[in-house]
Amino acid sequence: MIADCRALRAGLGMILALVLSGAAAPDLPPLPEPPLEGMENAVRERIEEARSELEALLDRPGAEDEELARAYGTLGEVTFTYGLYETARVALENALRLAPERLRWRYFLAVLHADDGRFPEAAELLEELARKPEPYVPALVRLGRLNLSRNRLDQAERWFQRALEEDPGAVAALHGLGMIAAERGNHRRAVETLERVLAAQPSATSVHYPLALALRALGERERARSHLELRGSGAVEIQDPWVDSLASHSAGSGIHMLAGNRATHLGRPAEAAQAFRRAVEAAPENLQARKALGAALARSGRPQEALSVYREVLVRDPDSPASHLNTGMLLARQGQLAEARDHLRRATELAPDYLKAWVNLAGVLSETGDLEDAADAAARAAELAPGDPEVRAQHGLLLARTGRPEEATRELEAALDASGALPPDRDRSVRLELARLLGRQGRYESAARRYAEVLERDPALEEAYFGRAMSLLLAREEAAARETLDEGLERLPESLALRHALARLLATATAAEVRDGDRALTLARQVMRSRATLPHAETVAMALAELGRFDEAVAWQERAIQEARRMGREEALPTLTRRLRRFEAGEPIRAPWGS
Amino acid sequence: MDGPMGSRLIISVLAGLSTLVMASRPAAAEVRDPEPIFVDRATETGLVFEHFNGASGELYMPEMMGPGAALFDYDGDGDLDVYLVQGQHLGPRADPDPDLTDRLYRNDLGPGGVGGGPEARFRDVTDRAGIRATVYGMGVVAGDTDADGFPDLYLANLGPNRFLRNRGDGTFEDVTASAGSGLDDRRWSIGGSLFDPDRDGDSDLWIINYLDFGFGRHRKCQTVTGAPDYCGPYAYEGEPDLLFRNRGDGTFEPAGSEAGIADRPGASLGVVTGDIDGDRWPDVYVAIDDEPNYLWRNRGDGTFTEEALLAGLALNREGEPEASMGIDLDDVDDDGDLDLFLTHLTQETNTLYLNQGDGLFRDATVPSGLGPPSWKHTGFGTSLFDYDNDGILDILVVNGAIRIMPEQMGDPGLPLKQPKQLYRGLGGGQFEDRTDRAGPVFQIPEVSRGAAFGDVDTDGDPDVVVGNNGTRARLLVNRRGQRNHWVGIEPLATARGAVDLGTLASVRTGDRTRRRRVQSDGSYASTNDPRALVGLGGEAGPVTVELLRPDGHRIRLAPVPSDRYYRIVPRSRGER
Repeated sequence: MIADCRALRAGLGMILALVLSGAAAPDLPPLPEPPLEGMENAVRERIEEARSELEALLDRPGAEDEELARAYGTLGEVTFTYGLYETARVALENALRLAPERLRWRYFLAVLHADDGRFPEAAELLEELARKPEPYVPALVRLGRLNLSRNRLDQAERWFQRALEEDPGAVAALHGLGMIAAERGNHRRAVETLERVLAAQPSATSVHYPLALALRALGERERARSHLELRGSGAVEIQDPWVDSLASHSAGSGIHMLAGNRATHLGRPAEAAQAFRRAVEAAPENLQARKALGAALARSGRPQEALSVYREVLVRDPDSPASHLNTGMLLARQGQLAEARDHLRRATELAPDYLKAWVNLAGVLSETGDLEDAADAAARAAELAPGDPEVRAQHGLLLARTGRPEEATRELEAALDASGALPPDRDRSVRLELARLLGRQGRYESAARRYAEVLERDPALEEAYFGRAMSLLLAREEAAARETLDEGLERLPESLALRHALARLLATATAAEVRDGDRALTLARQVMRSRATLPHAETVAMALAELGRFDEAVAWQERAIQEARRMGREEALPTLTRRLRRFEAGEPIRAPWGS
Repeated sequence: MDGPMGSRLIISVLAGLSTLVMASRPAAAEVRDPEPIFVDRATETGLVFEHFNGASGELYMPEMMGPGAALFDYDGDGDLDVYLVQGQHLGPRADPDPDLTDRLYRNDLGPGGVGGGPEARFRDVTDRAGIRATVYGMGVVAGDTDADGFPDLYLANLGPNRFLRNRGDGTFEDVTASAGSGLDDRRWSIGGSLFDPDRDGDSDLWIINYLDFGFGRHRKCQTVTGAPDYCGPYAYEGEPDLLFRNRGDGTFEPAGSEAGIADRPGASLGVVTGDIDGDRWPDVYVAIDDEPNYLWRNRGDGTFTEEALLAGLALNREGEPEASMGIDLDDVDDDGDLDLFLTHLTQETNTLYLNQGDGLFRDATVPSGLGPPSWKHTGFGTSLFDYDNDGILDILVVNGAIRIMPEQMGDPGLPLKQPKQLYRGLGGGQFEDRTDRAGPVFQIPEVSRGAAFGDVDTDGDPDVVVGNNGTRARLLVNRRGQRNHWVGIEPLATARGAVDLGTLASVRTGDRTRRRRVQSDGSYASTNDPRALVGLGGEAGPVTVELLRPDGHRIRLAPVPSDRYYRIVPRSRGER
């Protein structure tokens, strides 16, 4: 392979030497050697083809200047197409020396100079073009833009106006006038002009921004804001058939890759997929093009096509971690979990630091019920990204599901302490799980605080009111528990669980100021009417006892005991009976949920 | 004098060169001078550092993004020391080389400078200082976080970041694990800023993160010819920045979520802090690569809101995002508010945003003259500074492409080399390109990234340390600034004893007032000397100095002589 490259370079050197030694016009400067190393074959062949044509002419005695000019011009166009500015510049300059009347090459040379930062040279060439009768309108527009960028506003204005005289539909010239007005602080005129630009070319969404700033300068903040919301990445396009014609020189996948990458960057996956498909067609061996195509198809909502592209990639490059990951993710989304798992596992084997692969593997393993393996994968992810709250959260939740509450608590607290933010839903579920875990570990005050955080984020979550109230009770904060249940019931009046909990607390709280027998009885009866259960019946009995109506309490409790026997709930009988004895002794209950 | 500390201030004269300047001379004329403005004195002064980028042919994006540098006085001896960030081997199976570590150079000023003044003399004290920074480094943030008077170091890495506490005895201690959760963030960090957004008298830490690059998801990109090339930022997802709140003792707690910045990822490459909207709360401006930049307005309650679009700071004048890298914030047009300068990619221009006084900005690149000369270059480290001490801010930009330049293929080093540039301020936000007079080192194409600005030889003008990728660092010593008068202001000490970054120093001579930010952030991946160095032109003074602290308190000093540095510290109780 190295030998091949050397041979190729030697060959190119010979070509160059021939070009230089055989120059029919000795005044023409030599062509810099274009750097062909690493180029795709199709591109290199296209450049070599143009050079060979030139070489043949230079070898041929008596070649006409016009023929040579065409060959230099073609080589200039081809190398310009591929951004090989040094070669392109000299080739185009030579072409123009031989055929000064060829405006097209003069124009390309001007564009090249401008692209390469040689603004005075570009302006000079464009002015020559602009002085011609029936000038090429894009040249006028570019001249306007060049002058604008060099703060020559009067000249810029003249060229934009001239472009509009030649072509009243030249939106880019109108845009230039709008920008000049903005530079001059003539914001009213800027607004009027840029609005006309947008009316003529609504796809030029970037124009909303200078328009918004002009409105801002006029004090019209609301209109400015509405234009800022409409702002996008669409640029004002110059209709430039000469530059467009350079596409005929394009070969290989590079140009299409660039277009695809740009479209991806701009959030246009369908357009990107189209460009990447062209890249694959131009260079079937280009694996990056196939991978990019797969990704673009997936993003455009075409998972089956994407999957098929990735499968092709994996045939050609079975050790690509990213392709295994993408295949795995697509399969997982389609419910093909076993195959997804295998691809994701392979991705982690090939790239042990591949965080995304570990995270997705953990997710799929969790869905397949392999919780221990899922937790292990999540642990690996957490090692790789200890500061990533999402990764720590996933690990923590899996630890909770595998019955490791203390480790899970530590991990979820780390997730919340990490400096990144979790998405709101995830944040809430992490705090909720953490609250549950803390409660189970007897850390009631901490649990109550976490439930409160959940309620700040979702004030309509019944479990959080209930969990917080229970945690507070267990932390001997009866008043706060009552307050929580009151708030919950106000927010969720249909909640039977909250109504019942409040009824029982009001009937049985240790603190007299928390108890309210009348309200407890009302609530307990409402609950009982909605759903007659043993606990609900008991709560009625407790409320009656709190009001001193012990005979009624005893009657309710006896009915509850009979019902428990009828239902075969033998395990409930000792508690029910113990409470019955208290009622019979004229004592209310002071432990709402058992001990 | 008045201010929060009453009239009880001690003005400490730290260094001066009054013997070198003639009190009555006119401003140095801007005539063509054969002597270069800057000369590279790295080798001669002992600042011998070779950056290792770990390039292996795989074109991993991080290999071309470092390194940064810091100018800071780690040993408190009154001169600037240098910290240079090192790379490492790159790749999924690369073993770190323990010899590849960031390096600390102590400055022992000696004779040999311009006009018989001092010249920097550097000694590598890395080992003695106990610094073992072998993670692939990108940038460095230096500043006193625990109010002990000695600047600490936060190292922004590709991989776990590190926090090194300065013990004050010439050594550093790695306290990453003990100083706060999340300080060891493993994302690809570039640099950051120490500032005081809650105005509680200590420095909090803002860290900028770039992309979610990983070797397992390394993408291969190409040019239009199909030749391999480095990827652009679109190849990866942007990462959110980090904010750590100082507990007052140099330990930190994560505050990004509460502050509202954590759910806005972006490919951050530069950050500056200061009161951009004039409400006396320090704001944060973040330069984002190829996406709209962020202006984080400080609401004064611990939270920030992103408002760059309406402020006119998100995009260029055409409404297009630019690939923003280097950055600085200062009063370019002497109208009393802070303006912004940003460096950008080849075929974009560097951009100057002028503050209109109400926190709303206009893109003033076209009239500034900064656009066309920057078109061909990809700018990284930069500063608004006054190299000739004429009282008007100038600009230096260090460049280096991020896309392979085909004509450099086969040359040693990465084929991304570009020359540095110097612009002279003309006043009113206008500049002219003075690169051709800047010195031979400006003509040498290099892959320059970080640049730290500060008065290395204590002669009253700004010098520059340049972090070059894959090659040696440069020390650009200023040979021009001594011809004019100047005054230097050190950061104030806060009530807690930490330095008060974010003060705005105003220096008045005659009817002219010049304002400069007292801060160390900006540039790219680097930390500047936080002292404000204010050029006075030919006006010898005395000068009136007023300091506006971040909390709105003003301190006015009686007129003081020029050509000296001043440190203003609160008197302790009972002191006369």
